[in-house]
Amino acid sequence: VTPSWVARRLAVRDEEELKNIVRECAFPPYLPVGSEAHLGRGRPPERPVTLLSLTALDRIVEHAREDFTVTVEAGVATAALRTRLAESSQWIPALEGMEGTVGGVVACDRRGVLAGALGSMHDALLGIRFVDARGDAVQGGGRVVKNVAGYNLMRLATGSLGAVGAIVEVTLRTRSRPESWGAVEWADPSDVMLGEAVREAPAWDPLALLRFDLGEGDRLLALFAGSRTRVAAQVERARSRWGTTSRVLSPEEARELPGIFAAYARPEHGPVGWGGALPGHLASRPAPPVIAEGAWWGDLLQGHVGWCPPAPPAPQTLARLRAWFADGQGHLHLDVPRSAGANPGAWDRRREGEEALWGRLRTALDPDRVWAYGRLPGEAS
Amino acid sequence: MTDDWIRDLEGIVGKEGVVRRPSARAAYECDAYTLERAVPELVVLPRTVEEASRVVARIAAAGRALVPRGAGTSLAGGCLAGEGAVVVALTRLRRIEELDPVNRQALVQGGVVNLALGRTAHRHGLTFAPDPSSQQVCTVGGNVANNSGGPHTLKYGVTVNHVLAVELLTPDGERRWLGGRVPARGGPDLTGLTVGSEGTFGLITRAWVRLVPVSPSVRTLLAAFPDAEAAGGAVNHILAAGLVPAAVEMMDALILEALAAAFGLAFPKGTAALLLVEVDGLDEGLDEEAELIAEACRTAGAFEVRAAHDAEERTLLWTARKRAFGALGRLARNVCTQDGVVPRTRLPEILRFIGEAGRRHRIRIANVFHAGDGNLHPALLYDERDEEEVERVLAASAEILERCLDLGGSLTGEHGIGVEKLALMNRAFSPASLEYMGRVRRAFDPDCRANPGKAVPAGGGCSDAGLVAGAVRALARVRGGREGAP
Repeated sequence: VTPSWVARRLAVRDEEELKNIVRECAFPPYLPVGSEAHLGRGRPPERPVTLLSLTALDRIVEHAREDFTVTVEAGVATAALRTRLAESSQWIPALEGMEGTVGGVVACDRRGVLAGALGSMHDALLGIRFVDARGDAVQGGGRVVKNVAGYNLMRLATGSLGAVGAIVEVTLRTRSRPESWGAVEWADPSDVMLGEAVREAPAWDPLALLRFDLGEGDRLLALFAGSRTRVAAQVERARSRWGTTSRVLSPEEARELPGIFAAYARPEHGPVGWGGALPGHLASRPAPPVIAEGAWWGDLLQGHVGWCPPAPPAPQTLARLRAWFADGQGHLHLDVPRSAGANPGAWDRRREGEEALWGRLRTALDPDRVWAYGRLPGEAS
Repeated sequence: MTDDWIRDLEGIVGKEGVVRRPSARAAYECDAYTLERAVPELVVLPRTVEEASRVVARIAAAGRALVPRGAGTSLAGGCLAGEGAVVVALTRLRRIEELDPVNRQALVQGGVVNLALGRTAHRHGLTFAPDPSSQQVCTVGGNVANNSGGPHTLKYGVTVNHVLAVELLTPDGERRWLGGRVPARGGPDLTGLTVGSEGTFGLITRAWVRLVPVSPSVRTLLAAFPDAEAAGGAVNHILAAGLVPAAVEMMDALILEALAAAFGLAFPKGTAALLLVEVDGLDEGLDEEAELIAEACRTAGAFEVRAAHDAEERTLLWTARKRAFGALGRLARNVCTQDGVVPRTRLPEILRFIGEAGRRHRIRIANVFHAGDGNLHPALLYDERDEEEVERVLAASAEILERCLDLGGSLTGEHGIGVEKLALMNRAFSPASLEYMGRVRRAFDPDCRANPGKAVPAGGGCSDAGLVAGAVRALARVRGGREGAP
């Protein structure tokens, strides 16, 4: 389903062609896309756009196995990269369960349930190359795991929804795949138990500490991965902490969890809410009834939240929820399916000064609005 | 100087907060990078964030450039003041305004000392993970400005991974919060962009930082090698085994000589390189990991591997490691510390090259560095009174950094570009990339008055007014004034 604000599509063969398209600027504004799964993120652009499909840029440029880095073109499918890395017993936690292209995951700043402990894409990004509004290739970072030379353009491009340009190549940090997985789950955790989990469980070094409801009631879950000895010790420590009400998941079940939560967070079929609140806030209060109506999960390590409402929330519902999140120093955004014409819940409040600064940056980097404008906070349409 | 604007500054911070006497200003003539020096025209020390804001606004109205400064521990000349520039030192902004142990966060002012934050957090079983060797004095604001690292970044990440929000004091004196206590997902991460901008966007007056639990258990291993290349190979063996130690540090014979003299430590006879490896976490499984590391070291050629006897020895070892550069003062009058990075697998190659560069230029070079990250810290020993020797130090430094780039690495892993490495930025980045960074900078600071002449070559419309006269002589001169020298 093509959004109404898409005027045309161009398939880009390679980086040189992309530069030429931008320089010639025949059909602006442009929006770089991969799998197009997340066109419903943010607001619709101010003007109809030309989609530039980058899926042909699909080379794995270099996998430096012993240096734990991989350099790929933006159009590489996340599944293909996962398979390639698995051959060397490596993985990138931020890509676990993500579909689409690597460039798309970066541009949309997609986050899974492992982000709290192992970081999201911008933590895995070591270097980036993108084509800017002038049609020039701009490089940030590099191919080494530690690097502070130049401004951190990786942070600028992550989550930019294509506003800084078309990402053509990224270098990512890889890790060794864990030898073993484990998880412990508790049903209907009490407020006291949730509070204790927030305070104590981070010291157990979990991969994720989640409060969630996927339709079977309120749950608390601690996920672990690492050496067999360590995971066994972590599971035992967690299991014994709150008596016998726990369920220990098999290693196979535990390993599947990041993918299961990621699958819930795909906006193809309905809206997806994103945001977060302080972990203590997520733990110390019962989830608002409206959230409990749909599947949701909250990360008690850093406070990320994902929510799949059964239907688009009414404005009053959204406002009430946002007030709840704001009470916890957080926010709630909404993604809609790409077929939706508008996204009334696109962005929650953001610091005014920050939006103004992004407006200035956007003007400085792309004064002619070559790249689709209006999708981000601070871009007044 | 009796200008109105200086009197106004005195009115804001009090006379004791404006440093005017030449002898007092001389204390600010350089940071820990001592090859360049310039006594600033004026130094201002605000006591509060509000004062800092008024000070910066007044400096802007006077048309002066400003140079943010923390404790002055930059190793790249990051807080060197140019002609007419005013140093704004935030060392009096040292309050931890809030510490939230439940959510593991703290709100700190820019002048809070890194170790002071760590010690306060320890009372709640938490710590601030970035731990630069200068952590006894360096400030959190400086850490944020430089995206500082430290030995334990291998597992825990650098400063940007631990900053949630910053209060940026823009060059016109406006206070802007970027980010929030809960990581945002709306658009580009301007907080992350600001971290590591080396003061060129403005001053970091406050920050919300993330704290991490103190590890319940730790194992610290020492492995002695007959040569540095074998030690470099051991690092690859350890990480290839799938282990992520908290730290993997390497020290060569020259450093060990200095540490033995300074701390009375005894190292195995014949040690040319020593690895200090630490694993932490729950107690269960740590012995197994330590044994795997020991085995990897033996396989790579270690002739002795042992664990630290007790917590006291561990503390002594880390104290020695973090004061290693100070200990070098026993071997030479001056030290120039470089900060290049190479892919980890190229460690043996770059260590060989550093040795050759030292011999070629007749400079003694000690190596103590974050081997797990491939982040080198060759320390070039010299006497600044010997001009010819200084030239040789500069030449060797430039060669080492250029070699890092040739091997696919970076100019700097944690110290920043400062003035020191500015001339090499054209070697690391394309003109289009540098021009782009220039535009980013001007969006924050249209007049380029915040820390001019640092981090990114000015270019495109920025004159870098206030650049230190003769600064960047170092690498620029050695490279024969090639392109990129401002």
